[in-house]
Amino acid sequence: MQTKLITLEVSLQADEDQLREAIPGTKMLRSDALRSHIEAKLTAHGSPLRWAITHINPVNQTAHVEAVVTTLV
Amino acid sequence: MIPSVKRPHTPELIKPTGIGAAMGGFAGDALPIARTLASVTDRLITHPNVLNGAQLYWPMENAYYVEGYGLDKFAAGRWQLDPVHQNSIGLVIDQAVEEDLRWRHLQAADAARATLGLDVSAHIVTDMPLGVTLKTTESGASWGTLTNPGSLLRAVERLYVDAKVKAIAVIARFPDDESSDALEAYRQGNGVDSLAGAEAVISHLVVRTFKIPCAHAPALLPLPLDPQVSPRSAAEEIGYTFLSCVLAGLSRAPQFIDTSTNMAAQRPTLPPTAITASDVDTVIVPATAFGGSAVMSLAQSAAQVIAVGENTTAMAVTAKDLGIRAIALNTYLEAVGAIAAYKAGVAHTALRPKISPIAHL
Repeated sequence: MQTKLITLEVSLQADEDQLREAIPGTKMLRSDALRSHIEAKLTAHGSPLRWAITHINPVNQTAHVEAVVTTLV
Repeated sequence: MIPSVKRPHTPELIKPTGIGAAMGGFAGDALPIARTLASVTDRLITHPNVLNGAQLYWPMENAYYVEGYGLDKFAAGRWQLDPVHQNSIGLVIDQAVEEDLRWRHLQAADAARATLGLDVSAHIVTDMPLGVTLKTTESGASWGTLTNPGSLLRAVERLYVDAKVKAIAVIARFPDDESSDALEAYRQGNGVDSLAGAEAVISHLVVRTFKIPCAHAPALLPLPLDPQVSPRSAAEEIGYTFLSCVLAGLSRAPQFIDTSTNMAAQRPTLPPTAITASDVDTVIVPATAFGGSAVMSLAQSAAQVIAVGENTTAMAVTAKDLGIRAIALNTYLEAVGAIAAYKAGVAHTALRPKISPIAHL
């Protein structure tokens, strides 16, 4: 097992199939839905131990995520 | 006396570790906030970074010591908290800890047994050095790696299975760093705690794997005396170990109940005393640290979300950035007032000189 730091850019906007998880009247994901979305993205890189959005890009409407994950190799 | 029919008022105080929080980013320096908050509520949920002050701690009957990984799972509604009267604690000591330092930690544990009556029932030395390294992310947060995480988990398993302990204190040898600018800044009450991120990795790994309370105390050689040490960092200058607060916290840390399974038949029955995320009335967070898992979960369910402005951090994610409706306050003094007002059934806006017109939809 190894511990690794990874970074991700995740959209704050809901896809067409996520609109039910958007803040009413906007296309922005609710924070709990965004959390689930980030966790799902992280699993492609390993098992998440700890993560946080560190800043937002207001132009692209993306969240910059730093995460520590564990991998088997 | 007529018993109260109200459910227990429950705030959650969050100060993520290793992100340079001006208050709570040092050595137990958020404890005064937790003590004050606990006095105006029925039960306070918070985490070791808030309650640990090296050799200093403050027992509070209504404060729940919940490790960060467990806190995230709790906030997401996947795990519930099960309050306990006491936990038996097992110590994991990194093989890299020198003999003298190992004895200092064992004596700290014996002192907790003899003076506080804590049930520290077994200890084990890992079968390999854990190999802790300290790193900093691009944002400035601290984190770290273990060369041998499997050795940590094997040691915990022995304690959990053979000694049947209910909580784990890990003592890992951290790199000595006597001359770095980061350490100098930290001792002066500035910057980011360079150890904290790696400590979180260690405890998160144990909690994720075994679903029992865990906290970490770094083993370090004592630093040379510095008369200029900040009061915020001073708790880590007064002894040989940082273990006492960890043992005190773990001794009554709530257990976790995993209710995340989709199979109803496998879902455990919750005891009536269990605390769930929906019980949390208020979440209190530094104003720039809204990008953490727990606050992103609770922001959708808690009645009050409070952003505290003067607790600056290295992060740059506000409530507004994520579309979260939060009460923006500058200080924890104001936050305590807003929470007390909510508990009393008073809208906090009624305590200001100007009251806005009622909204017209």
